[in-house]
Amino acid sequence: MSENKNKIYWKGIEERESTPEFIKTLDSEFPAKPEEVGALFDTTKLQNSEVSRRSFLKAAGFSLAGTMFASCVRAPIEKSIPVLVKPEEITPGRAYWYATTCAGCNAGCGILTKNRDGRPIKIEGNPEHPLSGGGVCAVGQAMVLGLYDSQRLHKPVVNQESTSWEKVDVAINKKLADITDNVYFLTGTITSPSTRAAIKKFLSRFRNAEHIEYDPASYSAILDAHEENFNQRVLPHYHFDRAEVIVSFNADFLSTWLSPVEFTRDYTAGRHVEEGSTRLSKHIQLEGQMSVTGANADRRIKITTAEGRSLLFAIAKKLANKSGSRFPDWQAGTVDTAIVDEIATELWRARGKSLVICGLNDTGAQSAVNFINEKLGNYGKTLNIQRPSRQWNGNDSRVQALLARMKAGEVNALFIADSNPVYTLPNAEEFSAAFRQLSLTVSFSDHQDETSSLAQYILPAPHFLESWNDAEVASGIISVSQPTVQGLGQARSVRHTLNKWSGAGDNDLDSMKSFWRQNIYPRQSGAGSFQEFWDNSVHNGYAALRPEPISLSAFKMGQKAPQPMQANTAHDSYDLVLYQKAGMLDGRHAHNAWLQELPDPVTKAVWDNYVCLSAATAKKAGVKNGDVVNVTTGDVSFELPAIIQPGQHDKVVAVALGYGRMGTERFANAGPEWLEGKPTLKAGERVGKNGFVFVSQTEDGFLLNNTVELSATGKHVDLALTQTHHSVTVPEELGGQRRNLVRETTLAAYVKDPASGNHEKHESLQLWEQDHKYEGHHWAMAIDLGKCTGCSACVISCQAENNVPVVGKDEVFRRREMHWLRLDRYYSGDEDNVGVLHQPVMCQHCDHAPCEGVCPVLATVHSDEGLNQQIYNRCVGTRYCANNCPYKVRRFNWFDYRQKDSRENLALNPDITTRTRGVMEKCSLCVQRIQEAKAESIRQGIALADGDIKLACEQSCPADAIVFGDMNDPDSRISKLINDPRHYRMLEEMNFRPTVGYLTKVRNRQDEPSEEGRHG
Amino acid sequence: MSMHYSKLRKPVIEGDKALGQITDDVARTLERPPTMLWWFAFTLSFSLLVIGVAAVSYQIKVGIGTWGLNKTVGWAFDITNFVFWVGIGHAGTLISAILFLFRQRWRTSINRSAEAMTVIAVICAGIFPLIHMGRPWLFFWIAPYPNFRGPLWVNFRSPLLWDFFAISTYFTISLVFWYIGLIPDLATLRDRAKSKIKKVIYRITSFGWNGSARTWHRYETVYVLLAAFATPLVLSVHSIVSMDFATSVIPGWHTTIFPPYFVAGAIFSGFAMVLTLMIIARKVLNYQEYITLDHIEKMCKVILTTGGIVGLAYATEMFMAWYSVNHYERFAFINRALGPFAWSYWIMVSCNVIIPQLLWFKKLRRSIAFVFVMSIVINIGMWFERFVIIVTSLHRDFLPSSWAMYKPTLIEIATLMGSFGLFFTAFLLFARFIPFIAIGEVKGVLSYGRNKNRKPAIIQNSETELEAVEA
Repeated sequence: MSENKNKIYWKGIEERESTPEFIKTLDSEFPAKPEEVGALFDTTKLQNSEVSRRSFLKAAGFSLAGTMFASCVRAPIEKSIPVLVKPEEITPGRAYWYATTCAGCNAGCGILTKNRDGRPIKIEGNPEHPLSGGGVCAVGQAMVLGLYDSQRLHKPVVNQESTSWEKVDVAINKKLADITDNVYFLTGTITSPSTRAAIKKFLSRFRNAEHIEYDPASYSAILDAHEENFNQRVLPHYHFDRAEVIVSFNADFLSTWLSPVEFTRDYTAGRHVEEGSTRLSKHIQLEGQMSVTGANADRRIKITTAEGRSLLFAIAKKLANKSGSRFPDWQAGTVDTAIVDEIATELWRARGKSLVICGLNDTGAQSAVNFINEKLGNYGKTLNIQRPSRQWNGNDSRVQALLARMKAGEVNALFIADSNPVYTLPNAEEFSAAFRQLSLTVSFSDHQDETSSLAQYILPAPHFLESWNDAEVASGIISVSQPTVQGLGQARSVRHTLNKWSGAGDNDLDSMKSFWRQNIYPRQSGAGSFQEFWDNSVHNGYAALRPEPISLSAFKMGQKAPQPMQANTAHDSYDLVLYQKAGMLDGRHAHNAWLQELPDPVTKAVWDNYVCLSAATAKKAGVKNGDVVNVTTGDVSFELPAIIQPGQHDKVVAVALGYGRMGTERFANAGPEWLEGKPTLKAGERVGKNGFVFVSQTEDGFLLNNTVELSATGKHVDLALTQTHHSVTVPEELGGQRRNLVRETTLAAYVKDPASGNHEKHESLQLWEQDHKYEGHHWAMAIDLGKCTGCSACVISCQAENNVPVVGKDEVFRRREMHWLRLDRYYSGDEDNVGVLHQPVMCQHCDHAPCEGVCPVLATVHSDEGLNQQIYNRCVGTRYCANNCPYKVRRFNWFDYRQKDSRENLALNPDITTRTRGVMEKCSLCVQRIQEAKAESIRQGIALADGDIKLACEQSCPADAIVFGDMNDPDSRISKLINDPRHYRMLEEMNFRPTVGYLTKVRNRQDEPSEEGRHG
Repeated sequence: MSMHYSKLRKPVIEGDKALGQITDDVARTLERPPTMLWWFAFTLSFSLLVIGVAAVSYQIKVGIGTWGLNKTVGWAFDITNFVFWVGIGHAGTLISAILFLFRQRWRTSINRSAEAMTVIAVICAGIFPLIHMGRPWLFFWIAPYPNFRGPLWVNFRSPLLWDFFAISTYFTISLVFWYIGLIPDLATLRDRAKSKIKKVIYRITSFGWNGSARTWHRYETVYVLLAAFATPLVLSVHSIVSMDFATSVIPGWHTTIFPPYFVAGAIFSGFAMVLTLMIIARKVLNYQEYITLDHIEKMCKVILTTGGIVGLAYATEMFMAWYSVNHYERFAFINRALGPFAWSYWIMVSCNVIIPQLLWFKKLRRSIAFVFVMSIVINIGMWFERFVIIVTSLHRDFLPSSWAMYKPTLIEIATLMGSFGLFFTAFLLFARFIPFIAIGEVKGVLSYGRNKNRKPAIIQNSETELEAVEA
């Protein structure tokens, strides 16, 4: 300081004076007593002395520094930490896409996953995929939620205790070393050639080892019939687009049967209605319960199971006569000859352009179907067995044989993957008893389920979005599955595990690639090198291959006459039809809350299964909607609520499969908990009841039919339905007028007058001429009711895109479901001829929106592009807008609808805010997609083209029923549709000017709709 | 003001009261300790209020989901209660303002309590729009003021905003009007008060009233001006409330008849509530000579008239639904009368139109018991009128797919009970601490209808009486 010539500043008199006391204090930073520091380390002193605040802080500071020092070691690498050096292709906030293959069911649709910040948040259809062509069903859409299910197993489990892969590998290999024979591998259909090969290779070590495939909703009889008729166990690849006449017996091919997305796409392609290019197939559906497919049929005939089979035989016989061949003299029973004549005539007229399918797992019926298709010359045209489908390959009789061997003690080890026999087998108790006795049981399952919880080892299989896989779903089309996210746990694919055990390497990708190099690459043409082929396949998500050669013998009928099926004539016994429901399928996704809360496309019920009865049957049984009935056959029975289903055969009752799954107890408190709120499930209860217990066994396999008796129990449960009025006609006693909200016509009428059924037009006067000009874009949407099948893919797509919460059964019962997009389903006609129409309804984005004027705080306003916008953070929640909405599309956050499984929050779309309690929300026409596309077009300097923006509902629609676009662009698809004579808008007469419109449904019928009947 | 002396007229105040006697009669109620009956009524009302506060607290904590509303029926008990209470208030303003301007002197013995009823009813009403919001803590967003949210202006097209203005204006004017009328009486209490604290309180609240001719002059000028301000509100407030519905597009709401229909209904229900309160009060507080059978009969006549208008409105709505040839409109009304909520419609028609016709009989109009029961019946009917308008119109509107039912939850019922608890608690406190009858005004009509030649009764027990009434 003294060297400093500048002014000297001092802090106090002591410093200026430089008193000796002060100089002494300068040495220490804090004027502390040295013994205090020593006291910190002297335990006796420490006990006796009071530690001062200062010394305590010293100690604390020392410990902090010490800990920091100690933690300066290299931490284990967590791959989920944010990237410090940004990978070139990843920009935070911008989505990137992977092409992969859906494994929600075996159909193997091509999908694209939208990834943000290293995780998939949305599944969309891959428009280039040769089978699914851009469509995804509700199940596929919901798979992204399943990925983040916190109850998925993340580590191997041995005897119900978590362990590590190293230990498990050692333990199992040790056990396997002692086993030389009788090893069985039970799986669902394996569409993956590489996995199939790995299983084969693994089993080759053992004598008498077998890989058995088993599908709970079995297609075994179709395969067996083809083996009988063509000497080759194949599943035909159906082409509904090429069929002019489609006759379906009990096959719900638009919703759950075989490959619904592909079929919906083909079916609607064959039902094109446009002036000048109309091509409308004729679809006849024969079924006992009301299915989604039946709802879409041009003609729907109610049959019992036995009647259906008899009709098939009679039609086969009739066509045999016409074609001059012979159909074996199978017992046909008494049939309605008028129906036989009608169908036979239709089919004969469309030889080579027709298709008959049957959903009954009965070889006799399937042989008759094959006979009919053969005699009509449909093989090679509307269905193909040269390039068969590989989607379902289950073999019921081999499963039954396996069970017999298990009981006989002839099985040493059983490996189960992708299958849940303890849940799906009708004789599950026998199976589980035998299963427990086996010396080695291994389950490759991602959950603790009915079967895996009994297995000695559970080896968690990864979700398809976090692993490599392939799928040859139809001969010659191979799809690739690639991981879209770093594995969330330590799951290991079946192929990986088996290859490791077989000593074929520990790198799953390498082993799959080497399999491809040897087996797949030789079947392709076009790509020069394997790497090029691989890269292209991974990029596209699929590759075309040369189909594997298949040797078919000429058609011949089997020699064995099928077992006669007794017509069910007893007074109170009914045909039970066990059906798969859109979303739930065979129960494999019972842990998915989106699917549990997806309204059934027909009954509109959620969170439960139930017995569907006709009104007459319900009357006879003395039950009303929601009354619990006891369903009994032999010593099997359960209690389920009844739903009165229009269009149901009086002798048929139907129960959905896929319910009563283990682990669904987790949804007990799926919704908000409050004073009067009822839990979704009672304590310990599962969602619904397992219908598989009613599956009957024949020598052909598992029949999803049975004969049951019904009795009322006097109990009642509240069914949660999203729609409780089922007709556009108001009740007779209240006037009985028809509201012209859904419009339909017949082909005959349409040909004469394209605007038939759509004559109700309104010209509204304007007080102000064009007060809003919409000079840039003016967005609009049109939905073709003729194409919409009601499959409900759009509902889940919208839910995933827009972070729509799950609210639980009680909230749905209280009519508070949150789906922004709903499917209204209306019945028409009388009980003998029930017509069904599905109508997707979302915010109609009225240009004269009634909601906008009434909001006191301007929380809902109109954009200059015609969008009705809801601004969540302005909303105070008066609900006036919802009251004033004529379409009732607004949804209010009655509670804090938070996801109960917080890991599932990872599926939230970061582009969309989650809404807080007390705020109104509704469809925004995916404004985030519009804005993103507009920004991108500005950035690239390229004008937006029609179709650049695909809304979530539109993108996933397998039927292409939804078209969105700019109606200011005269060449856009939407502008053309708006000028279509079939186009109308709901409640046009009220002058709300909705920009969402609908197109009249045209059914292929000759009878003309009565104009007064169809107009309000 | 000159008085009318006539043998043909009956006196407004019975019992041949002297001026000082009136002061004593009214003020003594406040000066003696509360009776057991008061304590009983207060405990009951306050318990209801506590239940209501608990229910509302729970609802605000957990969410509007604790009400029985759904995606189709977005308003039910909340707005029903709101319109009901606003309607109740209207009678008070009508009595104090319109009847004042029309020189209906009989109003003087009921105007104070009727106005108090108005103020309390508007408080009860005002709570509902507040708590019915999904995010009530942001209620101030409906106030147009320079703010940091943009600034974000409010939507002047929204009837809810008009409501906000209408109700707040109405509350302000009612309160001021009531308070101004109270000042001379507060001065009387000040002069009678014995305890020092009371004296101070009354001195402050009576704004230095000295009873001089000039004070009285100013007072009367202000009073008549405020009456003139309040008069249009009687008509406008409920007209605006009705526009919440009338300007919407929902069949059953979208009706041009609503403003006059609502105003008539409001006065109808308000007078019924005044009758309920007065019949109890005159008995309990021993005011039979002030609130006489004539008062009751006159109010019954008002009820008969406005009830007739309400009945006509019901019929007109039905006719217009048929005449409009709009099948949505027709359905809305058929559904009201025959649909699943028909019971509520027929309660409404019975209580509001059919049963009040008995009031054509003079004997019944002068039967205290009958009128008391009738007043309660009408209040039930008018509550159901709002319920019918709101719920039956909403629950089945345009798209049958969205039709739904509504069932109140316990929380909603407790909230309704709570609003009655608040109303009666506040009214009982009013009866305890504020002169129930406007002493000054009643004195002004004391000689009305009296025989001029009769001598006034001897003033007894008059203490520091303020002789302030005009000659």
